[in-house]
Amino acid sequence: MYIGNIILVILNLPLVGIFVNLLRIPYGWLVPTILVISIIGVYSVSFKAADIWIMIVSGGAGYVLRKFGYEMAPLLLALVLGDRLEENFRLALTMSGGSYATFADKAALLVIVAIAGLLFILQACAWAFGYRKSMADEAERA
Amino acid sequence: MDAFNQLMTGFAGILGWKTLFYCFIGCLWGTVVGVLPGLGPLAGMVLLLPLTFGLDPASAIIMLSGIFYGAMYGGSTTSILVRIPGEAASVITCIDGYEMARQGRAGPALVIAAVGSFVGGTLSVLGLMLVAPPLANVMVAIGPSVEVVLMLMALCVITLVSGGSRLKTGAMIILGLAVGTVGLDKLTGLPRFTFGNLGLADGLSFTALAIGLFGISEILLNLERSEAIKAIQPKLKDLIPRWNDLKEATPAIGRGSIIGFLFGIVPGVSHVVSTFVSYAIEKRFSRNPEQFGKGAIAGVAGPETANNATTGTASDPGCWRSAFPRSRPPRFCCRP
Repeated sequence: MYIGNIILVILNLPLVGIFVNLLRIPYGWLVPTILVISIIGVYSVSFKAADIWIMIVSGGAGYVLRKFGYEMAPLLLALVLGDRLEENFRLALTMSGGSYATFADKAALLVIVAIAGLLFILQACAWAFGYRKSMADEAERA
Repeated sequence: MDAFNQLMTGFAGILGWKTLFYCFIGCLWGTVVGVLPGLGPLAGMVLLLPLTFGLDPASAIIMLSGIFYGAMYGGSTTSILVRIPGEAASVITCIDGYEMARQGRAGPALVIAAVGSFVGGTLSVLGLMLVAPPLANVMVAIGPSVEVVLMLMALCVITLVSGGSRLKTGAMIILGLAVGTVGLDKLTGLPRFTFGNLGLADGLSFTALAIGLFGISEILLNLERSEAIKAIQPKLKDLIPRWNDLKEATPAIGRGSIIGFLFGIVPGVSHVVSTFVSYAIEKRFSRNPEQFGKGAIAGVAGPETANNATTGTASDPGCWRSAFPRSRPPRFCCRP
């Protein structure tokens, strides 16, 4: 794997121009090719036709959402995390016998919550600071 | 050190012409596959799998690893040049990488992505040898309640530091959580939101969603303008990044390596998550966060490094071992 890394650095940098020329193919040829390859790629993951439908529908939905200014990245992140989140949540509750106190027990948890709290505070400070700064600017201009 | 000796033995075993040749083929094919959007490392490996049947195990694994790494690199190439992610883990690179390319800095973006990936992979392999065994045991001992809090915090952090409207980001996260419930319930096996359709029983496939939401929507957006896909052409002499770029990118690469390494240790977490977290942290630590989304080089360096660094640790079977006590092998979609 490490050797692969080295080879790739050597391979990639000068040949970038060549790889990019793959993408200079006229649009009318390129898009159907991309679509076909995407469908093959998606199908090759689990060999279900439903995946292809999901891809098409989510493509349309993604287009609509992007036109309205929503970012797609958090959606994917939540998708990945949500699954594990729920499973671990239920595991934690099962292991503790239904008591929610298990989320406050371990020291590590308190550290994490403290970090999150610190981030919130920092963010609030930055927001308040910016607010005061803009008030000061307005006062100066007035 | 024992680990070092083993590493040297490994090197001695594979530095032969035959294995290097297969590695080269794997890397080449992997880069081509990675550049073409829609085909990820998995599809690339599957396509060349029949070739490996006749090979000895070492060459076969090396070729597959070459394809995997090549696809990672190729994926970042299309993300930067066309804003269509080559594969799911390059999604974040689209954001700043494409902006950099539009400003004529495609060369530095590509170089920094490549260098960052290389450094990330190297550091994570080194760190793996030294740190992984005790850390993996710690992750098993910690238990699910900490993971829950960790993930909730990650989601909140992403909402906080995302550019644009926080409300919209939060809405997207909630939508993602809702979409993630489709499928079979993990603990009871009852189908949820499948509407009787067997195809949905496995949940909405991550690959399908990623390619659809990013690739297909990008194509549809491009269709609106009747011009061709603007693939930005980097000139060869432009490939050298400026000193400023290197200075900005180096701490980003360092942080990305650490993030990727840590996320590789947590069992089951995919490369995609580490890229998101790296982007969020880069934005948090940057001296000019408003640059993110408009071509900050740290936004390319960090996630790409984290991506490869996760690969290093996540491929370690020892980390997979710590995933088995959860009574579920690492999810297929979390491996590309």
